Amino acid sequence: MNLFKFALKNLVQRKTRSAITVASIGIAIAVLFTVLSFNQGYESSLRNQIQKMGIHIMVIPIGCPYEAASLILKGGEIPNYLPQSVLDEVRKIDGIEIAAPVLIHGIVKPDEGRTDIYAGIDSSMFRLKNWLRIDGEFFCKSDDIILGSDVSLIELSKTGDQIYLPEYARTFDVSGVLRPTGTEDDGFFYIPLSTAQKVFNLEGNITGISIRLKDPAAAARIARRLENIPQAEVITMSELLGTMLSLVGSVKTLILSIVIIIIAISTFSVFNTILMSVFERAREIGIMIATGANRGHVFSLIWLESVLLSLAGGFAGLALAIVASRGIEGIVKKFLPLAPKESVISLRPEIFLYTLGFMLIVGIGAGFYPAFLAARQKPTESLRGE
Amino acid sequence: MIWVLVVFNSLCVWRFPDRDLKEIFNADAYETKLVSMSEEQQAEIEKHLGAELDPDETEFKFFMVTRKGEPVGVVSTHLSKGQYGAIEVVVGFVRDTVGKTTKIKAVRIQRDREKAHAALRGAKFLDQFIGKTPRNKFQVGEDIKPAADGAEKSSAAVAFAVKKIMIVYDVLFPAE
Repeated sequence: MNLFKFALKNLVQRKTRSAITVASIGIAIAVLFTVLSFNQGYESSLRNQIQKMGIHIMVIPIGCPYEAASLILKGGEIPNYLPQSVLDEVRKIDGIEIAAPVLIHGIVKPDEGRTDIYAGIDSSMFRLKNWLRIDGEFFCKSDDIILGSDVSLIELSKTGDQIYLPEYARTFDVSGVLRPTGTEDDGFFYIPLSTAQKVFNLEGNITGISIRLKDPAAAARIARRLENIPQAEVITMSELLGTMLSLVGSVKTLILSIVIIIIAISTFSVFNTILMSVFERAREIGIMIATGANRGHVFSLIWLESVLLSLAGGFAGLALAIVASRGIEGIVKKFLPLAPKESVISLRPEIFLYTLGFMLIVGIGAGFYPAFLAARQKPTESLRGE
Repeated sequence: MIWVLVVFNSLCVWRFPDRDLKEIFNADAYETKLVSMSEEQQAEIEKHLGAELDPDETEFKFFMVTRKGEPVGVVSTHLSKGQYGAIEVVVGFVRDTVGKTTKIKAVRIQRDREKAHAALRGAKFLDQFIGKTPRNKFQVGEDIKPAADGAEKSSAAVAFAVKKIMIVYDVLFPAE
């Protein structure tokens, strides 16, 4: 019987203990793999989403700029407003291709357990987000409404239907429905900016201005000019991306620290399992040595058991991570700032290999001392049962 | 397209189970049953309903309500197209153990954006459904008075949702 089969047989003989050890390693590896995959996926999907928006700079009311920008991008409501006169000043600045104002207003419906989000826009928003496609038409009159694709499904409404706002006693004609974008745009009710200002008693106010530049490289220069406008806070998309990533980075460091502790506990679990096995099999090991087994072989056997145990845990953990990754992703996204709609978990082969390599090192490390202890056993003492 | 239809089917969530359970059945527990229907069952449902089911309606969700472990009734929800958007209807019903008939215990509107919002949710309109069975007629204007003048379409949407839930339950859970 070769060394590998012998080691495997020894592990299988202690089924329960081996299974518990494999499970504990598996869980630790699943978490490690998910955290590493998440980091890469989140960064690239966030970058993609921001680039896809075609927005280079946002002008928002003075306050917490990143929270406000994130809320505008995600469709949330912020309590501060910009005077619409800011829009005229922004549009005078050279180098700006499109400046699209938006007024966002949320209608909270606690008795229905939800919030409807209305976006007051003008045609410049559709020029800015030129990937948006409407089934129907853009606003032809002040009481037209365009529904995001999710809203259309939720309200069972299509072009030609009517939508009523009970809170403001206003009826709108659905002039169009947005085709699904897979972004937050799917969840809005779009109405003309001037109508939104009138209906929500916010005349002369806007929530923010999304800006596309003729040359994205000029973002810093134009941002400096925009900062001179009173009451306006300016944020470039690269700043927003950096802040989002650094926020996530802090969380990631915390999670990684916890994962390292879990892995350390798992390593001790492997160490304990193998060490107990060596003590229990002292007599068997003594006989092996007494009947001519090389001490090197004994060392290798025990070491191999440790490595096999760790690798089995590693594979189990990777399988668990792959199966559970979508579920984990759903939970993680709920807590993320500016969570992209696309997948934030990137299952890359290099992370797979890195995780397995890590488990190999754990197996080698955890098995070294028990293997060393087994190899230096004295057959006479082992056989006497000492 | 398939994805859209699946989403469509799962849109009507039960938003306030605790509140509805307490108000309708004075109960505090339920078990969810997701039931698929066969082609024969679909044909039977459509025959009794007098209308075709939506293409996405291939399975239905019922909440079996219990009080102290004993079954006391059933709740189901339905999303209907009203005049100004969707209407989410919650129906609580019981099955009479003697007559083996399914009877409505209460109807609630959990979401709507109708002009007759208050009337549609009022007891005057909703209490008309209490005691009705799947064999009763639910014709608005004849068997059911509309919630308000001009709210015929909204009222009919609610009546149709209630009728559909009752018929579907009776076909999928035939009385023993």
